[in-house]
Amino acid sequence: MLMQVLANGLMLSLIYALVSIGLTMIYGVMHILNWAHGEIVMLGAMGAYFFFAARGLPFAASLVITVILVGLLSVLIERIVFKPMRGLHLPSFIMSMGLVYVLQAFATVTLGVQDKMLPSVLTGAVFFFGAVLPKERVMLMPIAAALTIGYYLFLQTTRYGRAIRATSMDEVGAALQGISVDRCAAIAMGTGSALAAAAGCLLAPIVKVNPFMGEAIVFKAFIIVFVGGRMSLVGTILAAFLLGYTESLVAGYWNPVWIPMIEMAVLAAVLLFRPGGLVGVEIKKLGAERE
Amino acid sequence: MLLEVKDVTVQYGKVVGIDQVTLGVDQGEIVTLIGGNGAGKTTTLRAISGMRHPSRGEIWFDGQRIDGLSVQKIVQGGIAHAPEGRRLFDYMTVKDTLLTGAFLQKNKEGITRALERVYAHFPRLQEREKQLASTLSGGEQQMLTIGRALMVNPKVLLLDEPSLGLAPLLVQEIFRIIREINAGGVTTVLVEQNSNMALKLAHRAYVLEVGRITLQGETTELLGDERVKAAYLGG
Repeated sequence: MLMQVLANGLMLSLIYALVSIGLTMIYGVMHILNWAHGEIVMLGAMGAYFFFAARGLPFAASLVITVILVGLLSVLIERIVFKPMRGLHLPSFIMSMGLVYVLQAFATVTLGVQDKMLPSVLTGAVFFFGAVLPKERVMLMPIAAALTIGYYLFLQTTRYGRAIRATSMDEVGAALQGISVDRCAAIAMGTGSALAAAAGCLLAPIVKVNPFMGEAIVFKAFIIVFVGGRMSLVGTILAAFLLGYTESLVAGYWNPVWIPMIEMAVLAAVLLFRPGGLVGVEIKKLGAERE
Repeated sequence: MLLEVKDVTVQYGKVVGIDQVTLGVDQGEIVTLIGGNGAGKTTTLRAISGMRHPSRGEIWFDGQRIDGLSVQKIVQGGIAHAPEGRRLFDYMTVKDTLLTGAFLQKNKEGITRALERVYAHFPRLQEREKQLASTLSGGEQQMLTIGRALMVNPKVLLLDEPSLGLAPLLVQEIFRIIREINAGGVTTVLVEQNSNMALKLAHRAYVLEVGRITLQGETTELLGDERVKAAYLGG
């Protein structure tokens, strides 16, 4: 039992990290609470269904195509919906809520409301110290871990990675170095959404795929962002593991219906004792002057 | 003139920040803008670096009109701004901050050379290379702000109150380094409240009062001027 709980926790944590990193980036660079981030995950799962199940492409190819398409779509969303709203916190939040319904409608019209099951990508299971792990679940772990580590390295070591971090810490300071805040916003939105779409693809073979599957995910992702420390990638990853393991423990030893309650308690406790989150990064110039 | 501000007015809403300011900076000079709080010194620098767009007037740099250009375009042209409040990236290391300063440079050797030059001016920054900006002392943060601006390889360096909040000994150190940077060929516009030190360092000065230039000239003359003495040098 314990081994099963630990293995499930690892899988959940890696998926949550992949989903939440994008939310952290979008919040950090654009200061937008993108409630439609869950629908980006949903579009990723729908993409896997469409290309892999309906069109019969290999799963890997479906994943790559979906991630690229959803990434590009999200850049378009940033330009059309979020860019005019930048610096306006409440209106941009309301717009993102509206986007939830727009994207759900889009998915409903194109692929229908009913639950979709994907054919198996891999069959069989791995037995590991008494835990039974279907190969489809095992498969997603190295992919999710590699994407997370790759994104971390992108932020830490590349020119645009530094530019994005700089922009999230001080927009004016970044602009004075010749960095385009607009371009950083587009990159943060595009790459962050691409990771969420990848998470959706990886989830598609093991969950029910439908236009409304994003709603529960985005709530958890927001808890992770605030537990982690809002702008810190390391904090987000730590918080994803905290939440992933909390969830697998509650589901394994108690009752899954109490998961949201326990997660809210975790959030409340963290914010009470460390208002800045686990990795205490305060946003000092939230919504720096619009110039 | 390398940099010319002609008849520039900048407004913050209905409030006039600077009113028909005209000034010029020659290649290789250190020019200082002095004046009290709210006189418009910072606004003048912001107008030059594109952070604020003038409602009238023109700004020319190196034979090109730059007012109305974006901040990014102006940095690309070679004007670097070490702004008021430092505007550092708190959770970034000293080295990453300097590399961010070199954002526009894509040539690796150029970046290494710029980094070496900054470290030559500020050995302290090299010692603290791996420290986060927010953990530096005030003086070190000021050095990082100037260093980050130097990473742009600017023709003109705009410095906003580099002495603010620093102990007197450190102020002397920073001013010595500004002279050193200028001797290396970087034209400098220095905004200062510490008028005494600024006038001793700079070649020429403009005195701003309530958004207008009221006096200008060689610093050697201004240091002897009775009005400047009374208002800015403590009699």
